[in-house]
Amino acid sequence: MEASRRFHPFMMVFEMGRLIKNSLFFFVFLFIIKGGSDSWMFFYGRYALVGLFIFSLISIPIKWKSRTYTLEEKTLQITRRYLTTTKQTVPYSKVQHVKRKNTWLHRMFRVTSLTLETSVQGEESSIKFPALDVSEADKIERKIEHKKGEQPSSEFHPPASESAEEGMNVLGETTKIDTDEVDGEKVDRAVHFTSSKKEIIKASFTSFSFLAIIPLGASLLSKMEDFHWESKTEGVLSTILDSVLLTVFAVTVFILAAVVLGIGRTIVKYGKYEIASDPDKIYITKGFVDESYFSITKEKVQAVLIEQTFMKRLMGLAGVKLICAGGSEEDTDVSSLYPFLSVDRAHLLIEELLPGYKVQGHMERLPKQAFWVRLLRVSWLGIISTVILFFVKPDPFGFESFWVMASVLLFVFIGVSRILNYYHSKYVMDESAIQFQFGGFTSHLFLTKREKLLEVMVSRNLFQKKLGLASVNMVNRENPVRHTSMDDVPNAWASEFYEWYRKRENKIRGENKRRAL
Amino acid sequence: MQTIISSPTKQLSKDSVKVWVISETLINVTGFILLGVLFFLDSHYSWYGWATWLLIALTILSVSGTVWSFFKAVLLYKHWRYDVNEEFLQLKSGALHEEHQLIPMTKIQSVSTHQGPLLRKYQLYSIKIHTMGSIHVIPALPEAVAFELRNQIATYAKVEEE
Repeated sequence: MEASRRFHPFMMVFEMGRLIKNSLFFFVFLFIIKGGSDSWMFFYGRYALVGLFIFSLISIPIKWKSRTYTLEEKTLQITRRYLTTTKQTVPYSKVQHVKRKNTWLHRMFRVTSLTLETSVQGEESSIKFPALDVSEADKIERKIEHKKGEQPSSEFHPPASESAEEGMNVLGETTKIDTDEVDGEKVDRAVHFTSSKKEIIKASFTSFSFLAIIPLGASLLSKMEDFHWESKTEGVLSTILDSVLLTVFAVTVFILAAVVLGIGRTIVKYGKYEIASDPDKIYITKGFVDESYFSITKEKVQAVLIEQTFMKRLMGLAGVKLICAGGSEEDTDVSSLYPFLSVDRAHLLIEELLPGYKVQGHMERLPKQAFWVRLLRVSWLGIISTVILFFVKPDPFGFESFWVMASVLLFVFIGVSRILNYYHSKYVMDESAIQFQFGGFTSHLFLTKREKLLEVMVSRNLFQKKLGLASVNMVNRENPVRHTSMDDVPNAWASEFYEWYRKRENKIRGENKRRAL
Repeated sequence: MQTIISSPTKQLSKDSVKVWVISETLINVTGFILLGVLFFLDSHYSWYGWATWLLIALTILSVSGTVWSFFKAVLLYKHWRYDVNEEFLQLKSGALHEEHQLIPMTKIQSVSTHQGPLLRKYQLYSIKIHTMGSIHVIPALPEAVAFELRNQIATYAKVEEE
């Protein structure tokens, strides 16, 4: 057993920063915007705000003093002796994944933040260390891995800049082997991917980041126009000439600025990207300004999702996401592998990172009957929208039957999306893994293993029964769970799927036996 | 085609039909009383024309719903099947929309029995099975069967799996 420790004192700095950030708005509101108001609400509000602020400020060091953590053999214990005493025990085995985030402030003080995500629901689902020495963070991470002696080299590696210059890694090869020598032990850590210049440019085109400038440019242009109209004294010709020149100039500047800004934004977001792994874990590091880091044990990956928006499909790119249990909704992008990989590379990357996962090239298509079932299925979205349009009857372009057009367009859109969905929908399963592809304008490829499925369901409605079709649904752990379904597969395949899942028993039984011994 | 998936065999209590019919009737009677009040108010205060039409439409829906509810209770009972063994809980339900569910015992988090006033009248219990992401309910089982099943599931589900 180890001694309990306080959190890193810099925690207080970050807490203070957060307090200031959170209360700034109220200060501005009460003291500046409503500064002149004598209304009792604002008058007492100001006192209350200052009081609250001072109270929070004082409570920060007390909080720090009262909060300790202990790294036990198998559990992490966090004790808070504030007004009430809370003792939280987290078994390392229940930690689903680990995140770090380094802002410039962290880097200045050479500390890191660490978040341990468990699959518990509610407030206590994640354990946050706002500041930690990097070595201490590594130590905690190593504990979680159950391997005290080994050094997993889970340091916050900035991606090597040379490899970023060199460009994309050769397909299918892990080009660089990092051999870290820490604590006198060598551990292999293979870097699978670093983002190259070419990819950044592709990424910035695909994500339409150039469009970010439009609101900015539009206001600029309108200002220029205002300026231009003031010089009315000049001749008409010169006005037009001026205007043409000015327009050309403005457009050029606009486009240049758009490109620079767009690429800049993309670089900041996706520039320093590194995906690495060792035999047990996957590491994702990214970000220029705020570095973020994500690590997960390979066996804790619940499923893999390859996502292709319409634009990405045109460019032959795809985004890969690791589905993992726990974590909150808003930071799902943390667990995504690079969102702009070429499709082949994405498939290879999955195989490299996750043993046992392999994207099957050949997949079954839906039967022909499914096409009509899907196309003719009642679209509630369409019907409800049409009803609303009928009653509201908006006519933004001044002609009355606009609502008919809008409704027709909506149905066409839904129809096209369904037709695309039919052609995208494919499925395949093998001994231990299953793979679904689905989606209309944005298509998804979902891969998971039988042992990761929580439960399955096969269902048939009246039409499906007549046509010999069925829907299958499977549940994976996520936050808390993720349902994935495939509608209108042949009946026989649905039964096969059901029986396939039933066969998981053999494996479990073996495990239980082992456990019992 | 129906028999490709090996169906579970155990059925609910026959009294479940009565329970469903009674509860549906209670709900429907309340609905009709409410409709009657609305009709009265409608004629008394002479509401807009569309309100009357809406009420008529609601009445038609309610009447057909009431007739359907009797069939539904019978169909539900006829098509409800469950089974449990060491590895899986298997549920099958639905006549028009048929559902087969397969839940591994190791993924079950908790199991409990419940009894409302109607179920108590017929000495029935419903069983709720919580898994990580959903709740499955076996609606109406005789007391002895329900308790046995609950304990059985609890025993099977005890087996740990990470």
